[in-house]
Amino acid sequence: MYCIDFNNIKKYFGNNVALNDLTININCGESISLIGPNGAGKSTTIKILAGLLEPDSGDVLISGYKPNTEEAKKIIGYLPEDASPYLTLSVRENLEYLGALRGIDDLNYKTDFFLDFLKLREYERNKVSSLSRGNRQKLSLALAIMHEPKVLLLDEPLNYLDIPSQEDVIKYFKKMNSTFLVSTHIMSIAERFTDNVIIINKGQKIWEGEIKQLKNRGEEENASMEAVISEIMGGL
Amino acid sequence: MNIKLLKFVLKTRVTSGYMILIFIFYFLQIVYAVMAYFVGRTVKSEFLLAASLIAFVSFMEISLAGFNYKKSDFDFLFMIPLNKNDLAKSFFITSILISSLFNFFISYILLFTEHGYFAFLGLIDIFAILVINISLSTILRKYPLRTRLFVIIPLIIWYVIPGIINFPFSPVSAFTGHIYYGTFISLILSFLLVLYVYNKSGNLPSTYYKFMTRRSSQIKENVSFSGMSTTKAILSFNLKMLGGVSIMRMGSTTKVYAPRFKVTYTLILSMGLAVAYTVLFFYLPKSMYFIVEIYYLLYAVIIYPFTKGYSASSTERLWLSIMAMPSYKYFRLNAIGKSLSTGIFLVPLIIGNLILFVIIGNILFIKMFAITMAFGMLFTIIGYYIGGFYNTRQITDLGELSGYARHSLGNVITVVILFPLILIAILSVFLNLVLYIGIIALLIFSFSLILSKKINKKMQDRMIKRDFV
Ligand SMILES: Nc1ncnc2c1ncn2[C@@H]1O[C@H](COP(=O)(O)OP(=O)(O)OP(=O)(O)O)[C@@H](O)[C@H]1O
Ligand SMILES: [Mg+2]
Repeated sequence: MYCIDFNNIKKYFGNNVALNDLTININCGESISLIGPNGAGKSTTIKILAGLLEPDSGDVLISGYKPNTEEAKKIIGYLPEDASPYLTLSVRENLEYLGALRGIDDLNYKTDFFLDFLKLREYERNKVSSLSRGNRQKLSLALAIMHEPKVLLLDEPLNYLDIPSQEDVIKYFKKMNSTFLVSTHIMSIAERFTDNVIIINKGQKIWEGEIKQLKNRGEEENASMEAVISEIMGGL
Repeated sequence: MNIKLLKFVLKTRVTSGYMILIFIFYFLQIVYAVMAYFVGRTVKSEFLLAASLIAFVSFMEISLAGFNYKKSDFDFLFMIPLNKNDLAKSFFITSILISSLFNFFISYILLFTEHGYFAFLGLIDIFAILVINISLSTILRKYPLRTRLFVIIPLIIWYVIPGIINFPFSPVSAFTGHIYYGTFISLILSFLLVLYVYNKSGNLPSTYYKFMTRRSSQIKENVSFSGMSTTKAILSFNLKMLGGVSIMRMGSTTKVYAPRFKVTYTLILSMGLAVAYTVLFFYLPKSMYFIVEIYYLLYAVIIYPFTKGYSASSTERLWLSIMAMPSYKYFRLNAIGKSLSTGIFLVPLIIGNLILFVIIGNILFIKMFAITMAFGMLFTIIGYYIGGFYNTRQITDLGELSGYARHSLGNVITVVILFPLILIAILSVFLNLVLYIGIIALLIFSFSLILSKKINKKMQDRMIKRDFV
């Protein structure tokens, strides 16, 4: 069984097709980067997997559950693009509130852990509305993963983060032993996250494989990895 | 005057549907004036109502209407080397057009002008008062709220005075029997203010920007949710932080200003209100009872509770809440929590009505008691769901607005739904049958909102469709 099972999905917005027969299958414990140009359908894919959007046709299962079910919600960790926590609450309150909504057991421990781990301790009592973008993103990350989800759906997770935080976060993710689908359009981020990559454009898969292959191809052609990807994308 | 720029500013703030609506409302106002020409007459006992209605609408206009900036204005529009005066004028005219919707709601006072043909002069007065308000709003917007109140409150008192005593020297006097004085004052004042705005307002956007980016930081008292069950956490989110449930919006600009009040503050406020309300009736002639009660009903029992529910969706975070539990459960608990917090606010007023009934012995107060009890909390629930379905604003980030957040017909749907609800509440003061049926109908309506999984799921889908995250 796949942990992320996304089969022949079509999604229209009005007459525009956002996803055109896209299939993504990820084994449990595996991670894949989803790469594509702006408007390729990355965020749409992730929203469908999170159960927020319904596809027009095709099947989606998360560890065998339909995305919009309670069982699926328990195992999904979803981080949207430009996520924003509750602005009226402080950093600590956000963590505690969401912990309570999710029924997390060792909430005090978890809250303190994330405050220290993401260096948010000094902003503990700050309202989210007064945080910097980067700190808000850190808090959002913590909120997305604090229930230790088995399947992570992350839309541009490292946006706004400084380099040491990026390293810390990636290290933490790798330790989690979960299934990851990470959307990004920055190749170096994909490379640090995962070994495998799916490239989509205009809602269709145009390439799937190991990042290593892309690198090798780049060396053969004496071009950068980005140039190779551009070439692949241009192929559609 | 740069017409192209004006068109751009207007288009980025209102949809064409809304513009059409504005013109329909202007037209309706003229219809109103024609009606007033035939049936209008001076009714002294309505002067206070007329004056306070204008004062209330003016208060809204001055405090909010001049704030029609968007984040994209600061990011792009103001970066373009445009003539500053042209910019200021475009924003000013746009504000006037947007706010002229209010005029329709006060045009019923046209019925109280002395002679039929004054009704048409009254139209000019209403427009002139709007212009005064928007000009002041434009001039004042660079100041923080407290400073603005120093100007706004005396002005509002000036507007109300003609309703209380025979006073010809106020713009509102036109509607309290002094049509020439009133018209003269409002025309002169609006002319002077527009002149000022046109000549001096060039730098306003940049001064305002400084005000917009000021940030609040630490909270005074941390609310702990640790160790709470889901239900308890949602309830205490709504009950411990009263008034702070929504982020403050100014016109169509959002300042992520996230005020939070402890429950005790609002309770103190409502106690003060209840005392004033109760004491007032001991001095009020019996003929004035209904007028005061209708105001009380409108603001304390309908608008405040409704808005509290309605604005909740602006601060909602679906990616957190809906991902943590089924939407019906979350929305339901939230609606109940908000409605309970309305209940707390209403307790002093409920007691006030009871005391009035016991001492004065008028059956009216027992009715108000019942209406407050029954309608207040239900209006919050209904507001919550209508907000989920129709409120287009989600404030997601510093000064950020959802792409849909323009004045549009969608916002108007809310008013269309609210209107029969207000009608039921007001009629129930006069007609017992409406009271009984109204209570039952609103109970059924709000409970079906809370209980129906389907409606809750629909609301979730509607919010996602509008790009709520
Ligand atoms: N709510 C919506 N309504 C209409 N069209 C939409 C909506 N959401 C997405 N689309 C369209 O679907 C397509 C895919 O968008 P999506 O957000 O998934 O792209 P993306 O790959 O995440 O792009 P980016 O890198 O810019 O984030 C785009 O053409 C977009 O315009
Ligand atoms: Mg995206």
